[in-house]
Amino acid sequence: MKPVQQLTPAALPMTCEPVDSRSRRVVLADDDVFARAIIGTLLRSLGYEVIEAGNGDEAWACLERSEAGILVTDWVMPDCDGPELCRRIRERSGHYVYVLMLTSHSHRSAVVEGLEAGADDFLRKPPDPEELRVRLKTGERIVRLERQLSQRNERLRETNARLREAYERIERDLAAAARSQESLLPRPGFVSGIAVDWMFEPSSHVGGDVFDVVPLGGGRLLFFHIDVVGHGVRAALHSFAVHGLLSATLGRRPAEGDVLPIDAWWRHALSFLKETNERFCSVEAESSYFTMLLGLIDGTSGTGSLIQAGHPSPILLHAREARAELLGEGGLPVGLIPDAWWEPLPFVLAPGDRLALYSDGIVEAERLGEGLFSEARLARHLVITAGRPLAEVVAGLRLHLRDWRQGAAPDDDLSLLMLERPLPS
Amino acid sequence: MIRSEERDGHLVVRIDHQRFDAAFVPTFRAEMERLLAAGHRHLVLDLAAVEFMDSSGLGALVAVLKRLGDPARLPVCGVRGPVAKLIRLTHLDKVLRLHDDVAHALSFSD
Repeated sequence: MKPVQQLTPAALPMTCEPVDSRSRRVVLADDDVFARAIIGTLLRSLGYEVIEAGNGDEAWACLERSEAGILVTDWVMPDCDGPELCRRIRERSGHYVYVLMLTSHSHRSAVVEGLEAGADDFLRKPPDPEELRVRLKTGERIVRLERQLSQRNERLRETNARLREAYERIERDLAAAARSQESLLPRPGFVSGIAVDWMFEPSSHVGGDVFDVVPLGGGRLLFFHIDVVGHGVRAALHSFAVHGLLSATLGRRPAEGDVLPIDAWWRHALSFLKETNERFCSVEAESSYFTMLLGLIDGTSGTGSLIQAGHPSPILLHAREARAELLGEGGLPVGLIPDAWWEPLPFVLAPGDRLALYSDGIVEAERLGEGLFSEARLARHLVITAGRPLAEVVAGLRLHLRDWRQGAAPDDDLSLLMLERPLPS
Repeated sequence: MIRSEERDGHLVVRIDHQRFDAAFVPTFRAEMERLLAAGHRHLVLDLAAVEFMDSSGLGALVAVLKRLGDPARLPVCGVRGPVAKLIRLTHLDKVLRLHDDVAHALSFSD
């Protein structure tokens, strides 16, 4: 990944010259040559760089060209007078110009008109040198402050743009990771005579839940559903690794006619799990463990067995009685406690029966004031939707959960894997 | 969020926080580190105020047990509701020394 460029002031383009020179540059607008000469001399004697203009239009052009910070302008000028010039300055964008208006009008309505046009200050004509000096000091201070502020804003804008760019890149990376995580998941449909469908909603782009079904030959189907502790990127990385490890070790299809007897297969699977458990436990750092349901089912007979490693009890939906049964009473997670052990639990899917494997995120989805979604609600959903196609069951559950959370984003990964032994057609 | 008090030669560590989850784990870990570094070895963990524990919380709890080397050195009491369910589901009830309340836990330890 390309590193984010270091943000140092030196790396920023210098969009403006030093602040001080601009705050001490004055455009002086007066159509009276004599008055202009006197005031110009006065300003120069105070150390200002003076650019003289004979009318409003000229003054406007001078301001654009010189980027002067201060305008001293006469009120009455032909064509474009003081207030008009002022209004034009205020209407444009760009750097702030401090406007000191010279006037022989001293009545209230003139002051109001000048202020409304955007003048900052007034001075009686002809100006008293001392008064002119202190009022220009004020102007200088304001121009300096405004310049500092706009430079700071510019820097903030740049930083913001870089942050946005970095954020967008992370978002793109995560979206790509999410796509590859989804591509690991099985395609809904039939495998080894078992219908498969699922729901997967990580709490952020990627999650710690993963599941798969792998045909092992001889009509057998390996299935597993895993929830790695935590969620987000760290959990997702672990779930990728566990998925790979399991598929490579247990999902290997034996050569034709070389299918292991069930007990021999489980001996092999359990010894692999124990080994994995010890490996995870020996890691010094804060334990990264996972809970899992791992099982094997014969698609032809519907007989199966599974081990429950700290994962929520799967729900077996008996189609004929429209009854949901929670299988198993728990078990140690993988990688939490050394010397863990598991016992395969037998089950049978009659034609039409379904097995639902899910992560705790589903049953622990919370509704404020009403508590957790619970196994009972999940089981009820499965019973109510018993006659419907799997895709509908899954889509319905997604809606149900969204409704339960009342639109709140899930705070844990939600996933469900459904297996069905189809009715004979 | 975590309060500890000496009782009958034990340090009773009470989690005064409803959710023992991933967000709470750093606080728990830091406090346990501190107590263990201070030399406390006879601890009782009181979870009576905890209403929810997630897998990260469970992991952090087990990590402390592993550090102590023996579950008997950190009896746990007051688990209820979803916390008790999680402990049963993960079979940690077979590993942890669970007690109904602090008094019960204290009466059992040496």
